[in-house]
Amino acid sequence: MPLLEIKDLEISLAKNGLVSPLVREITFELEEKETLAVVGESGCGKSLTSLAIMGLLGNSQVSITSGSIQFDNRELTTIPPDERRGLMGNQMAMIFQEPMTSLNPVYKIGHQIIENLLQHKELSRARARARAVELLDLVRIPEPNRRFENFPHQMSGGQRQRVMIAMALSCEPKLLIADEPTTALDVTIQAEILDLISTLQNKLGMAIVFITHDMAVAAEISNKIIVMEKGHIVERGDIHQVFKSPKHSHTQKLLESARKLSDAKSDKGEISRNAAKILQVKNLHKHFQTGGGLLGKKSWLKAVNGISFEICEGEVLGLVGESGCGKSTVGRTLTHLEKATSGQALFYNQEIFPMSVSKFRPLRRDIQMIFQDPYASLNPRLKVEQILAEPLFIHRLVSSKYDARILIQDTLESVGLDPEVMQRYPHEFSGGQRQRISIARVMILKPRLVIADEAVSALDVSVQAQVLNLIKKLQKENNISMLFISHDLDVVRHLSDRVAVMYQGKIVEIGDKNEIFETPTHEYTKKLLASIPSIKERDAL
Amino acid sequence: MKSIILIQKIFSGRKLASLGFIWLLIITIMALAAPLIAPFDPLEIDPIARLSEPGFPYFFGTDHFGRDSFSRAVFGARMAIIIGMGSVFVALVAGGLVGMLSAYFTRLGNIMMRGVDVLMAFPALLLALVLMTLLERSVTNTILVIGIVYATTTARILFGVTLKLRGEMFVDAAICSGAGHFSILFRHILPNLFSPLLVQASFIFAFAQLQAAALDFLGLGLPPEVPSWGNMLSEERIYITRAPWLLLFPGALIICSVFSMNLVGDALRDNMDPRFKDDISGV
Amino acid sequence: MLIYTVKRLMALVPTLFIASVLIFLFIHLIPGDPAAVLLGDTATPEEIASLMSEMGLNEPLWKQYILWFSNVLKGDLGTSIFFNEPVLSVIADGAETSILLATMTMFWIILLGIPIGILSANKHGTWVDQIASGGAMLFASVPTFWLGLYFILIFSVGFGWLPSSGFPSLSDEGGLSNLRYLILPSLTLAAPNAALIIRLVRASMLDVANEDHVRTARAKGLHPTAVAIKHVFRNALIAVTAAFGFTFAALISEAVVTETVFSLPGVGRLVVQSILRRDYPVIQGVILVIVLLYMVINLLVDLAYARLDPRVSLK
Repeated sequence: MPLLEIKDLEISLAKNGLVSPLVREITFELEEKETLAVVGESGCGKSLTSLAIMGLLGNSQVSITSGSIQFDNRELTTIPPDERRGLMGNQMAMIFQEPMTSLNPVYKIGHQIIENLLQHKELSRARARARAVELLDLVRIPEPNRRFENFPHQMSGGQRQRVMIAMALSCEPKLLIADEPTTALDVTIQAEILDLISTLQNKLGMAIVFITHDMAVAAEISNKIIVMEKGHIVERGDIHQVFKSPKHSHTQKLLESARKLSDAKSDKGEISRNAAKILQVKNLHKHFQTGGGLLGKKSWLKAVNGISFEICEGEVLGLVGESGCGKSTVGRTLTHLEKATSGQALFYNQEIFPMSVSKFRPLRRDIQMIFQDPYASLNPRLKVEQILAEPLFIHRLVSSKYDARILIQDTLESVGLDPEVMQRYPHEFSGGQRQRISIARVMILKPRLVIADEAVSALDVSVQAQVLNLIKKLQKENNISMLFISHDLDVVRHLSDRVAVMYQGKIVEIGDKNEIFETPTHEYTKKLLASIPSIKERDAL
Repeated sequence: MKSIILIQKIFSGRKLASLGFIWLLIITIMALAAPLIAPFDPLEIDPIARLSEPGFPYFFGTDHFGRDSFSRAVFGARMAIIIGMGSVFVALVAGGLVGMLSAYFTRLGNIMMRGVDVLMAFPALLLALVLMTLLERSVTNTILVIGIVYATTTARILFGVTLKLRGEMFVDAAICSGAGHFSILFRHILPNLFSPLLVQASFIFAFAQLQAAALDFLGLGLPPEVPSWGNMLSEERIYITRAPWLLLFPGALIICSVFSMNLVGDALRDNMDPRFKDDISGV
Repeated sequence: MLIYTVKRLMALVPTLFIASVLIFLFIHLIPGDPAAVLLGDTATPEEIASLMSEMGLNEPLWKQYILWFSNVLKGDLGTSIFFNEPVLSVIADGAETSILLATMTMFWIILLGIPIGILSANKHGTWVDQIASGGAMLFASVPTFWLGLYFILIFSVGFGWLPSSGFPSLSDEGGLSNLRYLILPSLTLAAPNAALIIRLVRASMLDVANEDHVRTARAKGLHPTAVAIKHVFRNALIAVTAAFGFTFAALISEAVVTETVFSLPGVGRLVVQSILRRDYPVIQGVILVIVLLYMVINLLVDLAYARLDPRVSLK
């Protein structure tokens, strides 16, 4: 008897008298100790399905309209509510995507773990506390006794996720549902958490439903896979089989996008070392004051702590590192969005840091930036035409709206958008399209140096590949130099000629892309590379 | 054309708010066409018919001077709108500018917001009372005083919203395009402030009615000859036992107007960008 | 927590200072000679002259301020023109009434506001919610004095259950039963404020209910009531507490009107009468006391807020 058996599950939205199905004909099984990966892009219904299994569809408008969920021989769609609650947190548990907001900020973390224990087990408070400390130790939190008294905001994202896991496993559930638990975490932390989950699974013998949009992560952790698209299951099976010979087009598309990035080798010709140096950064520092001032002595956060690098004309330098390492800050100082604390930056031969606002302005034609969030980087109140015309008028490149329009049309076409787009507002477009508009805004000035700050990180995987290819094409065609900032190694590999690895405000390694990726020298670089989940490993098995 | 679609969108599914909106249109018409609607001059006295009950020709009855309550009420709508719109104007312009500029130019802003803090140390009505002791009773002064009182909360709110906007990525993008302060303030920040400003305007309009009525009641608001709902309540209050209807109608008019404006304000707020909702949770 | 308290206290000082300067300047902003203003219409030129030198009104303004401020610290807020008594004692006379009124009002506000707000949020969308929210908004739209007048009409004149004016002190005969004089006034004051609290509690709870950590709490299999109280309400309380300072300010303001309607011998009515009588020292003194009180209340609210939200103080 399978532990979990879903048959023809249908979840629908009831609004204003209309019933529209969101998820249909979901059928799959899960045995004890198995791990099932549920993969798909955002909006495909994977989270909804898991919430339904867990019994968390609390919203009165969204509910299960047909089908059955059998867990441990019980039909979950029909059992009474208090029996259902008896299972939640007990026999089946769930962990969520956002560790920063999934814990209650006003209660200590130890208390929150105990809450789960006391709900389902007959324990004295003292026993419960002891058990909670054991659990914290189990999830590898150092000094568990002291950490027990911490509040969530006193812990990092990775630590909070461990606390969530401890809480979920506290009653030794048979089934763990993990909804994108590592998506919001840095890649090295992700590797640690995935390892932790695997170890605990072996130890406690539970079944896992692991939801993710990342094919590589799925490959690392599971043996079975379901691929979902628009509320349906489009492919299922053993993970080796599916990856070797995917049958459905959507699966193929997802695999291709994932592979494309990890497979990339340098297909660029060698950059002539005689090319002029467009950017030279020497000993850049950026410190933020974090505390003190009036009463106590000041404390500083050294976001950028002595960085030096060079970029030649036509070259792409990838700047890679995890969140908080300071890479975005580097980009921001170069565009005068932040004031550098000390150091030099030479654009060709001009020092840009001491420049006043008006002196730097003409250089803004040559130094441009692509921002991360396609939803936040376009003014919602302006039409696309106005957004693209603004830089033209500021730099007096056109004298009339008519001239501007011609330039805008050309630029929009070059980024793969229909020029009639300019009459619309940003909210009418998808993430990928908006990012193309942002790129158009950058390209319309024909810059020489472009700083891309996590330019594709907020996009779906399949869209990422398209936008990256666009950036690559534009860069080559126009011989643009680039500082490509990203936390995603695959993306950086795809695009750069040279790579710099950043950790805690310093560059720990810098060099030719292939050298860095194939023969890293610094410890941190090695750790970073080892943490990347990869499909290739699995193929080899 | 676009505004009609927008209005439909805001009020669809909210029956009460739609009724409120209609009521506001009614009192606006009352205010604009007051001389045409009111059967009598609001100052005209009919001593014989003093304190008569509602009926014909005095629909709301007459007050202790013998003035037609209905006509006074119709003209009172004028005052309500004038006070409402006037206070909103003062509060939004003064408070809005202070709040917006303080958030954008931080060094200047620190000082300005300190000033706002000081003013906010005085509870609203008290501040209004104190200011009114220094000034003489008039329509303009009442508007000014109420406007200043609500300029403080408006400044606070716009400070918060502008601060958030200033950190938005599209503002960074505009800076990278080379846009200067003026350009950023007027093309990027201000248009995104319309929504919170509109919500704030509706709540201020509502509260201004109550503040004006309270000031009138205490004898510190509008001059007594001016027909306003607040004055009607203030003058007739000793006759409440003899002629309870005299206070009923002006009171009901105030309640309906304030209620309607609150409903409209709520509807507008729900329609607003959710990021700014926290900043506007109360006047 | 202690450091936080000290920091907040220090932040108050500049604001208090500027406010005190403004209050000091109040007398000087009134049209007319300050001494003449202070002595009233019946003063003779000799009296005015002697008061001027006594008060040092010929000195530079900043010296006057220091004189005034040091007097304030000694408890000397000037002398009332009308009563010819020290301002502080005039205020103290009205304090008992006002404090009792405020306390009873807060009692009603919390008793009515919070449970109905929670109920409304829990039964979100049902007719219970619609009536509660609609009713709350309606009461928030009513002018306090109008409500007071009709309360008097219905409950005092009509039914004769409760007294309509005045308030004998608790130390007079009748003792605690004299509190019944405060029932109608406190209900009048409480109505619009309770309404605002209902709306605030409801809105906060609905916001919090959508947050991720509530989903986690439900995933632990907790009973819906436990989730509603321990997780949703507990977090919503943070926002509600922050609003209590504002509520208190509204209370002070509206008490002025309510005390006038019900002829209560409190500080609010004192302010109004003093304004009408042009008793400027009293006006000045009352404003000073109220501003000080308001700042203290805000400080306490800030501290309570920090207590409820660990993210604030433990940075």
